[in-house]
Amino acid sequence: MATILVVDDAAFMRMRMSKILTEAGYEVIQAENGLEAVEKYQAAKPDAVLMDITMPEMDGLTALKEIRKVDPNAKVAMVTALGQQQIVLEAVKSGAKDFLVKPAEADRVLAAVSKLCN
Amino acid sequence: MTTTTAEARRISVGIGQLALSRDPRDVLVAYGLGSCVGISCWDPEAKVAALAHILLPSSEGKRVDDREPARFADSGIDLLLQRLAEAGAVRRRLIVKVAGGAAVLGAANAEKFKIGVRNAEAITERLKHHGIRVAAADLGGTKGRTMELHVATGKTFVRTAASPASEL
Amino acid sequence: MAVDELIPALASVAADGAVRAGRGLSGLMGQEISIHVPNIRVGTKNDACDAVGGEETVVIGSYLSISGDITGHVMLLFPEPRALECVDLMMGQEPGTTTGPDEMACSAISELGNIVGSAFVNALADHLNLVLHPSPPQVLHEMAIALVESVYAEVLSQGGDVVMMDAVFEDQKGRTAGLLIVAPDPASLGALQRVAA
Repeated sequence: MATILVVDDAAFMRMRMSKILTEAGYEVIQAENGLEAVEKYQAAKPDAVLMDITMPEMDGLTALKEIRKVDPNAKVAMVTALGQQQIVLEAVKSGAKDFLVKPAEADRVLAAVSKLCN
Repeated sequence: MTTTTAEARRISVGIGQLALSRDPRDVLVAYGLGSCVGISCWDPEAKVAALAHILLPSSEGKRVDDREPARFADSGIDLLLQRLAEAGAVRRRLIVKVAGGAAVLGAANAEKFKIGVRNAEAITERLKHHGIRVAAADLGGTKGRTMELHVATGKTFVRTAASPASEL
Repeated sequence: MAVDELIPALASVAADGAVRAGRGLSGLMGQEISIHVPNIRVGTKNDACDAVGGEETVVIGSYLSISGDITGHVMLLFPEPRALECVDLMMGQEPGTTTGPDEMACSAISELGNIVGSAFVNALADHLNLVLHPSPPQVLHEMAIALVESVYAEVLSQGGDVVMMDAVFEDQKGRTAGLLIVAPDPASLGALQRVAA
């Protein structure tokens, strides 16, 4: 069963994402910020990551880069309120495989995760 | 803006406004003081009450608009004291209380929001300049305050969104 | 470009911002939310608070500070009962389940502000070809006027002009579903004028 790391500083978003994913049969690990995301990625080696951008301690774009240093094949999709053209470009350039703008519907999230895991 | 009941008239003292009253039915109110500072003044012998709602610390280089006579701490306090004197209040009898100057956007944003602190400092400074002793102060913190002065008794009350009115 | 000319130049950006923000609100709550044409003006009056019910109204909402090519403030406010309703909608619960701002409710409202506020900021960024970074949201539970005047006073105290944009959202029953306030720092008006020209 695929394991997904959900990274977001909002408890509400972590809860919402976890619900969508566990109901679809995925295992979910959570992190509250970029720093924790990097630690948990190395410890748990999830199949994919859903990463928020705006977080305290370490933002999602920096965490994306750190994770890809450790694992160049890391499958990371950004899930963020920051739908700005320049930011999408930077995320993709830094190795993000997908970019979802909040509030992302359940279908969109599941489609993105399915693509990441295959 | 005034709301009227048989017993009391609540007179809203908006941003940059000041109001005086001798009518015991009146309650002068400054609603939702965030970074703003409310100054209540009461002369217990002349029975004159006044409330000013200050927005900014200094009028330096700025025009003072008649429509917002208490906008700035310095010119606002000067005018407040002048109007009180004209109404028969005597400075050394004045009971002056102050409330407000908070940082309501949260402690995390305190760096970005210094205006509450600056207002508190400015009114304290100006009152001191006029030789006025402040009888009670409820300044700073992170909560907005509503300040009211009851002309019937000369008492000042402060309340927040979370707590009921208590006497200042 | 004088600040008076900046206002019409910002109008179409602000309108798109309000549409994106409204879509964000609708998506999160599974309800149709309509948006009034954003009101952009120099300075502000207490009547920004009328949209949420007046001076003494206690609101729940979030505040974001903006950094990047432009700096400023974004705030999304709801009258308290409406905020709690929003939480129920967002969590797929019976309306009335949330009776007070507990931890999860505050997180939900915080995130609501993040999504709606960022949607507006995204419009500014894309139209004006900028990169803008909203801060993590700060949840607010306070008298509306205290919040609005604090932003107004802080911006005003930095000198120069205060440009405030507000957009009121309404649900299908015509009840106010939220008030979004966006205020650039005066130091950023120059940058805004250059890109909006």
